[in-house]
Amino acid sequence: MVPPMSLRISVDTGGTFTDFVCLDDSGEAQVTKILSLPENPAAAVFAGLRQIAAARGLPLSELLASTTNLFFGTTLGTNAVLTGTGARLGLLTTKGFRDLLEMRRGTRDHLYDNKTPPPSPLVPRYLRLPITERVDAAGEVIIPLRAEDVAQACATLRREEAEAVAVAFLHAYCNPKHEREAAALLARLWPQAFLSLSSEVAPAIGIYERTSTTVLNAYCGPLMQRFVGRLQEELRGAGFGGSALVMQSNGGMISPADAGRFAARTILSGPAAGAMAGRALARQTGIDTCITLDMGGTSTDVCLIEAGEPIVTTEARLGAGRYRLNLPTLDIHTIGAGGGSIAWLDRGGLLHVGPQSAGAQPGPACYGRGGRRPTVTDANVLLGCIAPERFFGGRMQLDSQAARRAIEEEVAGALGLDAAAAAFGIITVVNTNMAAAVREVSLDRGYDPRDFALVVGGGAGPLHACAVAREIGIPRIVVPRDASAFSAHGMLATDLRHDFVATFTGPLDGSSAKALPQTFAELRRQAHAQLEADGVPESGRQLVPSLDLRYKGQYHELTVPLAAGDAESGAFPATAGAFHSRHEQRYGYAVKEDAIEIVNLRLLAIGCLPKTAAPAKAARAPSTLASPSGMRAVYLDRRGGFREVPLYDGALLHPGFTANGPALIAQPFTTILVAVDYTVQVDPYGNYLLWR
Amino acid sequence: MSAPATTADASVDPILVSVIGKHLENITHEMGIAMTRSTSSPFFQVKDMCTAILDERARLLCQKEYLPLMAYTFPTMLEALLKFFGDDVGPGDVFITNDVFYGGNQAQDLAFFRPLFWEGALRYWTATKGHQVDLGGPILGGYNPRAREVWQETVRIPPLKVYEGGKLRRDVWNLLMENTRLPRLVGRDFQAMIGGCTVGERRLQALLQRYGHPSVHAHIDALLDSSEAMMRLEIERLPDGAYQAEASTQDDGQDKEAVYTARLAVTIAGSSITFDFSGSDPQAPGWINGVYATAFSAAVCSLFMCVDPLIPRNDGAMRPIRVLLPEGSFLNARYPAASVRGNFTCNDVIGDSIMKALAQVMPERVTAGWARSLTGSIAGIDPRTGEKYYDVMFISNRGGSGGTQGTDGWSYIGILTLGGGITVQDLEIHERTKPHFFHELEFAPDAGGAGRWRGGLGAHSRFTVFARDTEIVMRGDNSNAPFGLFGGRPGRRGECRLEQANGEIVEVQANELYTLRRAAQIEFFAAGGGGFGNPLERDLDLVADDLRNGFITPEAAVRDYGAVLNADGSLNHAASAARRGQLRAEVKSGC
Repeated sequence: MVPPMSLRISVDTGGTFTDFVCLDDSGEAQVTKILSLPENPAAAVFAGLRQIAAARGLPLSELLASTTNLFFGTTLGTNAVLTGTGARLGLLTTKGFRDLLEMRRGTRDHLYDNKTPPPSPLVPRYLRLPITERVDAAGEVIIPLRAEDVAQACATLRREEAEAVAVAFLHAYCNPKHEREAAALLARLWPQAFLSLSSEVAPAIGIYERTSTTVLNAYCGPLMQRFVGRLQEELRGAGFGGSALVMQSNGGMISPADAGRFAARTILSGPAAGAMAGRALARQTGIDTCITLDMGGTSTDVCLIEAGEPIVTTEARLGAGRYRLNLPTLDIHTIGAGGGSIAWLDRGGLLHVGPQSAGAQPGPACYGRGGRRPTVTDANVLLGCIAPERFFGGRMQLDSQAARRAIEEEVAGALGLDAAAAAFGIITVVNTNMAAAVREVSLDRGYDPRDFALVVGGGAGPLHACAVAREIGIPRIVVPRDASAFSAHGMLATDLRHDFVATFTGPLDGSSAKALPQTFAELRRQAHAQLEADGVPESGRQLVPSLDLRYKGQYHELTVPLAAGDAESGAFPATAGAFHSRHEQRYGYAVKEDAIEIVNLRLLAIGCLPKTAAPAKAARAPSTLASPSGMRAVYLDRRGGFREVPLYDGALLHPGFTANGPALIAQPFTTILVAVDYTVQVDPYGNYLLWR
Repeated sequence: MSAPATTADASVDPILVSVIGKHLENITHEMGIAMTRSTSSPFFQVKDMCTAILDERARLLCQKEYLPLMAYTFPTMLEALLKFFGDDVGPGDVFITNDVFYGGNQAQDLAFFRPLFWEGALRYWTATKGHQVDLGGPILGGYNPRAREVWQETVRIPPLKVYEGGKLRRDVWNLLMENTRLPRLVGRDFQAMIGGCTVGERRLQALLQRYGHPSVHAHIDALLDSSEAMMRLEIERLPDGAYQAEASTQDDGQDKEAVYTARLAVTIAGSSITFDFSGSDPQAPGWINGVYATAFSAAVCSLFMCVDPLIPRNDGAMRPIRVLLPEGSFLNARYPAASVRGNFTCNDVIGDSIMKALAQVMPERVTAGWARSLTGSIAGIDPRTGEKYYDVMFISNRGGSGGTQGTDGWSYIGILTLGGGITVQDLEIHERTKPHFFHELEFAPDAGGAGRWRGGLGAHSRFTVFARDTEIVMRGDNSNAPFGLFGGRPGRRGECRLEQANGEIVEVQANELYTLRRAAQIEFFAAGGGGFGNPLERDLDLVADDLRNGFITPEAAVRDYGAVLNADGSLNHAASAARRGQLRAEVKSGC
């Protein structure tokens, strides 16, 4: 007999694995991992849910009936962008400006590479249709919208069998009149079309970035709408009566309906969940400045958390950097470094690792599925860091001879090294790449990474944690208890989040005191309407206003939060000071005598969701501390070669357990390598704290 | 897993070579970030800048070339600096220089150098370089089309110490600030550049701390050797021999009809390559002259575009390359020649002649001609603020790149030695911050030269200037069209037209200064890239796509590509294929 429980389940669909965390109301977490089914992500969701139900001895319908919340992180949008499988769509632009999307502000990423063709825009030119209309930089209508042009464009797009329309007119961020007129016409003439307006999707200045974001929204929208529609229907059919929510790139949840309408907000759904896991861990452990490093099969996501909050950017790029996304997005730096990253030599004999990955198929050579090229996982197997019999919860057999062969043939021979030294080289190079990513999210933004703790998750991450931290000089590391399902865990600790923005030009002084509160009032009205629609009661709403500011004449803004009441009064006694000190901190100087100008007003609307705190456990007396379950030969460095290292079974370790490196701690889906000069301790929540 | 031993013999570890190479790349990148994130300058904003690390012998170890043409000039500048200061270099010094007769490439491209001392000896230099809005001289921005000598361009700054032993030389700083029209802007960018050098120094020190000097040094040597080996492998594949080509530019700022020709002989011998420009025309009386650093840089970066893009662009990779530039020619002008437009000249004639010469030995790697340089800078008073403003027409001046075997050229990409660097300002932000209103900014159909691989398109733009007291200086080349290769046609040449508010229309010439009346309209056609290969061999599906997208007009489809169109304007595949067969046969039989 199972007592009635209320469960909250999160599902993170990744490129290689789909991860599940099921949390009951005592805070106990159940982690499951299955191989992803890219061609039918919903089927993988149900397969995992069945596995959870089976483990609890329940039929699926009962599991779902006792589930109050289901959270989804998805790579649907990312994959559609990467593989070019989004919607066929049209773009309506101001007449005379239909190529701005394809002009990409005149740049390319690889300055010397003349052989790579220019990237194809998501909308070809013949589907970018000019509309007679013009608004100027002050928001004045210079040429009224010509309705006939919209009707004609509509007819063209229907004939071309488009299913979505993006509308992006010049200066619509400050006057959306024409976009709304065009939308009304389209809705009347073609009600089935998926509509994406720049003034709704990303109403900030910057025509290229805004157009690109609006187009991405229309490109992913129909797909996302179908996915969430079908999933909701099937879940309901299977007995789910709770609330389903989708993770957004900004670290908050959104309703499935809004995820469909504003699909662009969910494109970095999975990585954002990882960053939010770091945020939750920061709260739990009291380490509120940390850098999360989530290393999976294909890529590593890195995000900086300052004072308990991940940094937010509006300058993200997708699809190998080809498409700009101008929405508030957790500032996550992704590099092609994962367990499946392939090691290769260039013509000068220099060793590189990634960004190409062996993925799940054929996978690393040691998977024995036909992969012949050496990967990071192969190197770890060869060096003894991965116990082949324990991999993937013991459900996957690894071929360590195949790993050795691949490394000998492709790397060791050409470098004149033995296989172990070459494997160690592969690990060193991938660690250097990850360290560079950590520097990028920290130093790039004016932070010293040594002031941060490194939070390491993902199936592959904990093996590399010590080396990456040492490379940068970070003294403290945290490996969360369920590191292998890091992102899925993160979703259970999030809230509903909506970002509202209004472009505003004016100096930060008394002269804006009248207009600012009016604009903020309008943003508050929008925020309340949204949270009302989400079903969030007034008591669960939180509105956070901020300003994008810069010194007059600068090109980059800094976002500065406002003190309580400032958005209503329009007086900002402390804001200038806060801006100067933030500038000083990021860029090394402040110019107190310079005028500050306002670029955008922002309002973050949060709808609080219930959370379950994990139970803290008391430390055991030293006499009951675990001893190693065995010894393994592990290659720790080039001087020492292979050494016998104690191997602990993570499941048997209790709070208070402490050991000095070198040591290996095996978890069902990951292994922690504790380096020679590190100490590891299990905290009351079952997390591993490492320090030097 | 502690750090590898740092022994004096420093036996080279191949892994550590990769690791140190990546560290150097990261450091130059971080130096660049320090410059761009807090800038107020329109030039750093678009990344008209470079950063580098050199050693005590002025060898280039690593660079971040946001703008390739500017990048390869660090060694010549540092050599001149070392020659002047000799032993008078100490810890905490910071040097500044912009002078073209002390190794620089253009007077506005100003550099800072900071020495790094380790264990008491000078070992490395960190350096930043960036285009300055104004350093003083007769014209805001420094582009004086009437200049005949160096003093009529921009204030000359030979190598100077701005910091000595960690202390700011206020006298030197003051001299520099009193000469610029925009001291607040320029002063802040100087700080950002010095900050970039400091960031680089700190990170290099950390590297030395960790691995020790002998080891870092030995591994950097190995890295340079590996880069050299990569470059030699590329050259060795090519047949030995000498290959000639020419390219010209017209109008030297003094004489509209004057033509200057670069004459190039490329010699490939084993794994070495020589670019010999002996026989090029003598130096000009006007501002178009190149100087050594610019011409060298243009040659090297053109070659780097034709080899494996993974080769690190450092001193090692440049060892197999020789560039011979006769002194007193328009590519390497003698003191005190004017040279502020030389960047453009060298881009155009050196880039073009190298592509044409290499087309004879590596046809699969070269591109047809890129857009020739043509741009204007506008200076005036913004009536909304009453303040001076300055704009380089980055939005309008983007042309197309040349086609190459296997792919069309890039549209709206700029000139060859930019390589697609420099980010154009967003149009909405531009209209908010500059007194300009755009009527049109789109690809110009048919601008790309026809070819089996079509040239990239340039932009067609029209905008009204609402400023007061406005002048526009045009520079570059509107006489020559970007060349086609192997039967490809030339791209459209650049053009500019000015319509004053009273209806008067002026065909704008390069190398001239014009005064704009209020509400004048400027129309600009940026050049298209040249085509590659016979247009009759272009895949008909691609021709149909180009037609459908309006990249080519129906007339061009019929005229250049041998297409036959249906009544609805679409391409008729069967009829087109038949007509093209006929046209090719006619060419063969000489009709």
